[in-house]
Amino acid sequence: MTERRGTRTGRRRGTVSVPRRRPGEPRLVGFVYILPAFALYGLFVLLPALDGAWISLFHWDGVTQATWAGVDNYVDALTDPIVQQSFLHALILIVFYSIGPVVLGLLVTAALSRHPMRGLTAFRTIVFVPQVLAAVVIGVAWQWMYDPQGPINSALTALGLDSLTRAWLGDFGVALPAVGLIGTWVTTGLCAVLFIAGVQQIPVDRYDAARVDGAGPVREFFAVTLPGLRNEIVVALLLTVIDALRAFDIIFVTTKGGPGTETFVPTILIYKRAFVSNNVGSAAAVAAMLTAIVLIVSVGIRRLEEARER
Amino acid sequence: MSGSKRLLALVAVSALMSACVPGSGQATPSPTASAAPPASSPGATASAAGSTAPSFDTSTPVTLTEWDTENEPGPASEMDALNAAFHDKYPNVTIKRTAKAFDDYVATIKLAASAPDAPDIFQGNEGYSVDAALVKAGLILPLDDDSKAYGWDTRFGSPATLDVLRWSTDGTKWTQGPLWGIAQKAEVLGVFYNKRTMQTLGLSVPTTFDAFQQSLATAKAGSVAPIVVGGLDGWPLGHIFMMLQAQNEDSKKIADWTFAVPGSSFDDTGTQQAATIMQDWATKGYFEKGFLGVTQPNAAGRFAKGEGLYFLTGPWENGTFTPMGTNVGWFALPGASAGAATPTTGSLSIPYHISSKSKHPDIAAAWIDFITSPNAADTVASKGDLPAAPLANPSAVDPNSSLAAIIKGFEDKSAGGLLTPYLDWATDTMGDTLFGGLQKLTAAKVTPAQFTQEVQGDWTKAHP
Repeated sequence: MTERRGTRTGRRRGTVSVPRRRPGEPRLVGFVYILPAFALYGLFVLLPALDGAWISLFHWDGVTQATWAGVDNYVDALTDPIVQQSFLHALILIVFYSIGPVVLGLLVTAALSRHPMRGLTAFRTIVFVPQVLAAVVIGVAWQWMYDPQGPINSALTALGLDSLTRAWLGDFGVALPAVGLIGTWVTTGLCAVLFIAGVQQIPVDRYDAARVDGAGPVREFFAVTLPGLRNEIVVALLLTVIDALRAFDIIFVTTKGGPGTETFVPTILIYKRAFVSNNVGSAAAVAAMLTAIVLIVSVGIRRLEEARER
Repeated sequence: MSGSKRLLALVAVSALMSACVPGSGQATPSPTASAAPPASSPGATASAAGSTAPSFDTSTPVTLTEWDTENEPGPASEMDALNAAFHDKYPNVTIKRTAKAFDDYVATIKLAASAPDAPDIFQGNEGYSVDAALVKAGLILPLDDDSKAYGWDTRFGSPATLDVLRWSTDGTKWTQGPLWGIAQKAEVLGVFYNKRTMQTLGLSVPTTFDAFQQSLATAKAGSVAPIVVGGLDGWPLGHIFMMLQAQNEDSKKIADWTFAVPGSSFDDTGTQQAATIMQDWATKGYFEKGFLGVTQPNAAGRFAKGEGLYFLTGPWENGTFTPMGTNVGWFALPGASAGAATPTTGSLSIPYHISSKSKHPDIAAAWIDFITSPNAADTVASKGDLPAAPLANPSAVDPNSSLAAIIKGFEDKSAGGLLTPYLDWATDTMGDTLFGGLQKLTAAKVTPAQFTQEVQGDWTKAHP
């Protein structure tokens, strides 16, 4: 056996004159290099994820013997109004966590990119601070800001805008945007820092050329800055959309899903079903659905980038 | 292309590897098999004082592990003091204690209890989520023999007080079957009030429900928040509603509904009446302004600083009001006529269970007896908490304090069979449905009838 295989390889080596790999094409040995990382990733990420998907096919209270459920948990989830409402809320949060911050980040960048500014580093640090804070700290701080007797209402009263004061986190219709704005506050810094860094990579001569052609600030932004930041925008969208879809900590700390079900999102539902109502199978099903949506949206955003590049 | 095939193969292989039924890995004795040897009957005579001599070995050194939720400084020091006293009494027994904050605790206790090295003694929680699951999985021992031997059945007022800790051995029928635990503390919902503010408003402690409502109107007219409450958390509204329901609905109906007696309904006149009052209070501005955006800790903090007239909640908040000194008082929400026996919501607090994996269930039972005894009650009361057992030395508590009123309130209600259960026990999801529903009710997003229908919908789904 060994001998024959040896001969065959030998023969092939003799007959094939061009190298089997083109230069730069990955060698199989590359897989050996990624093996340690992949093994860890597989053990601690892929396997648990698959296990979760497997659990979603059972009725399980987390303690006693599970019973086979097939797709029951998925059918229940898809027809459950609270699940639908939660996913809708997650989509609304994308506006606050992702689209808003990207637009704000671009505005900040546009303002800064035209003229060199002193204290840029300090500014970058300040807008980035929310990214560094623990979400629980952010949640508690904002809960205090939003308190009916908190600084926001006090400021409004001081400005004579008493009619605008309200119980921000307890007001039906306002609670979700209020929670969303916390997300905006957190992710704007990330977007701004990404874009400011990106703008510095854009060759200055393009701006010079635009100015020579008589472009004003708006024209310059759309002709030079925006196209130059395409990759950064895609990265910012990816990160923040994922943040929006899996938002949990800030909502859990500030409203726990209330008032009523106004701020229920899929992750809150997953937590409640798994740890409060002993419905681990259903929690896993919602989690699998959420994962699928995150994957689809991520791939979609990447496609957007690739399509534009072509 | 081949990449995706490879991925599929990988998925398939991994799925096969983990293709075991969740939960099948652990030893899950069937409920009947777990009706373990009854913990040895300690001593001969039952004694309410818990002074029976134990029959266990008092010479060989033994370490018992114990988990509880008493992580706050006050309660933690109670537990440590009691454990030290137990060790003094039985020098061969050492208790290794682990305390966690309630939310973390509830999320982990079932896993801890099903581990091979489960704690010998641990707290559960009334309801389907924890206690029923522990019983169903055979993770805790029935304690009826210990109850008889130590006199637990008569320790906490009416024997019915212990019903919330009874489950059928399959964990499906609540308040029936063996006793699975007892508690050290108790809860009774009532009204904390600011004595000085009450005086300023020219009011005295109301003795009828009408007078109570009148005092709300007086406070409102006097620009004092009548009721301070953290509506953002949901459950504080739930507790106010429960007190109102206890007055307006037949107690047996409330208990039947909570404990899943078939055919029970939430959607009837008494309960709707309570919901109507609740909504009426919200509309009239009897809850502090913006209450739906305030957390309960913030609300309690403000009441402790002197804001508002009333704070309707359970005795666990008594410690928060310590800064008010003797300026804080307590009364049970009064009924239709002065002095009438009026039900309110309350029960034993979270129970202690003995693990079915414990090698020393007899010592564990002696420990539970020790920390729930009248002597231990004195220790619990000394930190401002409401003990489940009557005090051994009642004069130790200042008769003018809110705690003295709470202790008397609980004794009256438990002895008179006037305690109704917590409604959120009714189903796994009732907390969300009921408390979220009350946020909608008090924000006038639903009518009382819609509210009771929605809550009943949850119940019917869980108990078809």
